[in-house]
Amino acid sequence: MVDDPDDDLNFEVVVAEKDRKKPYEVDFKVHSIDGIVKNQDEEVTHVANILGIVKEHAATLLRHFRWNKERLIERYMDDPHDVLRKAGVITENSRATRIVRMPGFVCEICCDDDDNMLTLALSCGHRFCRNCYEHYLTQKIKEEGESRRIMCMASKCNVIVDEKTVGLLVSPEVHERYRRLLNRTYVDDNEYLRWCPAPSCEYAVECHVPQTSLTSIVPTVECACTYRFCFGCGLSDHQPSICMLVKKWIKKCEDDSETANWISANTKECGKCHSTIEKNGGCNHMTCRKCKYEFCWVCMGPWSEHGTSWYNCNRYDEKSSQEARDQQAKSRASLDRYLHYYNRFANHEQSAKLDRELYNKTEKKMEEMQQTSDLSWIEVQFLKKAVDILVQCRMTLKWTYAFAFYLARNNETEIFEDNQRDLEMAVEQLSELLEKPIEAEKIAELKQQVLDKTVYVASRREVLLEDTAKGLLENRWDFQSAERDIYRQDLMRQEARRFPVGVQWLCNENLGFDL
Amino acid sequence: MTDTLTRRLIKELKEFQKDPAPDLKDLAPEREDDILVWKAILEGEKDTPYEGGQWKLRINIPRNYPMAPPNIKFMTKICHPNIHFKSGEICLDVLKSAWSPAWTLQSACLAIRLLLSNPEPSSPLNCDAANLLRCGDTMGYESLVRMYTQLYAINHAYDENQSGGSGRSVSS
Repeated sequence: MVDDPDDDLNFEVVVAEKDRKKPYEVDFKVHSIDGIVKNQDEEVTHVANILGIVKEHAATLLRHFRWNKERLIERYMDDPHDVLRKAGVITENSRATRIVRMPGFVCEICCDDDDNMLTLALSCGHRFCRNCYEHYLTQKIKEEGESRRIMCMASKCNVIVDEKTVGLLVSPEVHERYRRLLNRTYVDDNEYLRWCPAPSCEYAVECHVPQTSLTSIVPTVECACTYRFCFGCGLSDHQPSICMLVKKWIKKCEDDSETANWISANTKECGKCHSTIEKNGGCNHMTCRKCKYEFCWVCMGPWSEHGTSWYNCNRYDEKSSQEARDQQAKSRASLDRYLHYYNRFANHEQSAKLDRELYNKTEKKMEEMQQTSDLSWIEVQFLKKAVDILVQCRMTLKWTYAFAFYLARNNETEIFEDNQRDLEMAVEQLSELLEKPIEAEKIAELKQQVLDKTVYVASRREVLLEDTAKGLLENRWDFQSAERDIYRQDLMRQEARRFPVGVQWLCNENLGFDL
Repeated sequence: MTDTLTRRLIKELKEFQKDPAPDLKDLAPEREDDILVWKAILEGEKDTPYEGGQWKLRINIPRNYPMAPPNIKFMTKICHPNIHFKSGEICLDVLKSAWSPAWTLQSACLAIRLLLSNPEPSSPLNCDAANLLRCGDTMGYESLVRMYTQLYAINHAYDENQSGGSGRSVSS
């Protein structure tokens, strides 16, 4: 039996401690479709009451203002006519749109003049037949995916077809799609809402972190479907790296990693002009095509010193050869540096994928445990929990390498890397424990080990994230000159005047390919 | 739907024949057995570099017309910032997103004619022409247009082969 260490503590204190927000966490709320519909409705009713207009018009106005209620009310108070005209709302003739028979009417679009034909006109008075309107709306909704900006059919008339009218005209199936599209634009237009990007997940997350603070916060949220993602950019959880670095890193990996790997494995550099050279046959006597420098492919030393021992290099340890190799090593350092981080990043990504298979294995293990020992279902849940933590930590570790790649060398970075190393070691140990086969007599011991390690790993992750998040808020991290400059430009653009202008920098990332 | 479409197109044809717009020389189905392919002949406006030219347009009408816009192309070569020199494709908002079912083939053709004298160099399909305008070389632009009008759009029969851009017509 394992004693719960929290048993003796005051329960409320523990809950309060757990509920306290960590520096790397943000407040957010998950909304279901129903919640989104309800929210829209509340906002529409609110605005309709304040402005004294019918709900359909309030909805059209809100959509025109992208659900920015404050701006709408302010502008409406300033100049109601201008706001209404631009949003395509006519309030004067506010009888609800009705479908009527109008003998003698000729529809301008289908040229039908049947006396029994049903017709309707929006508040602008442009009258068309019902069938044409239905075709028109169906085309707009089904083919073009339009919802909030469907306008009167007359040319140059910008009056919006309101929700009620659409409901009168289209088939239930099209209406359903229309409602979905409206909900979608509600979330898309709203700065503080984002759909959960997980496949076939229908929840939206509300989070009040503005785009301007993405350089200091990584707003990670968790949907009701358990998918964790970044509210700022919509990519999956990438703590502790900020969105801007993530974007840059992904781009860099797409562009460079394959090429860089190949270059590193298959080429050498000319000792004089540093052109990248691939040896595709022939002897070891190389002549650089660019600068005509002659050298030996094996030792990289100058060919002139090889004397008569051609085609059989025994000068590997001579001073001049060594120097040539040292110099080459230096110029390759930036490439190697990138590959160092990339390989670790890719390694954790790969491991996280494999760990998903581990879930299946773990499930089997849990069954096995229940059969071979007297542990109950709930008592073996610790294994699943351990795998959860493991996968999460691998994700975090993965992104620490992207973050570290862009950090400049200094003491802060060393602390970061210490934290990273601690987490990495702990993760690998936990991973090993989970791979261990079960021995019936040692289950209690294994459980204790796994529990301890899980808690430790989780706390290491917390320490790392906490420190990184604090560092971002305090502006403590120093990025590589090129990145720092971009980072600063970003900051300057967003929070103008926070940094002095005119930082000069040199690009230190020039790989200098010249194949 | 086809019935409605045919009825609408016949009405558009009658309306044009009754009251043709002055700069639209022709607007009718190309062949008797297919009402979904029309042709039009556009005349260049007076006092513009297009003066004196005649351009043939081909209009392909989709089945869901007039809910969807017609597809209109220049068959005669024309030099204009918003018209593709080789394919004759036209970049005009009313033929794409700003289309309304209340527009007709005639009003669409007139919108194209209006585009000729009001080019929009910031969204070009013909970059060379647009660049001249953008850097303010109106004289250069107009003489270029006049040359191509002269080359392709004056005194030529509207034969099908012409749009292929053969060197034959350069001799004028």
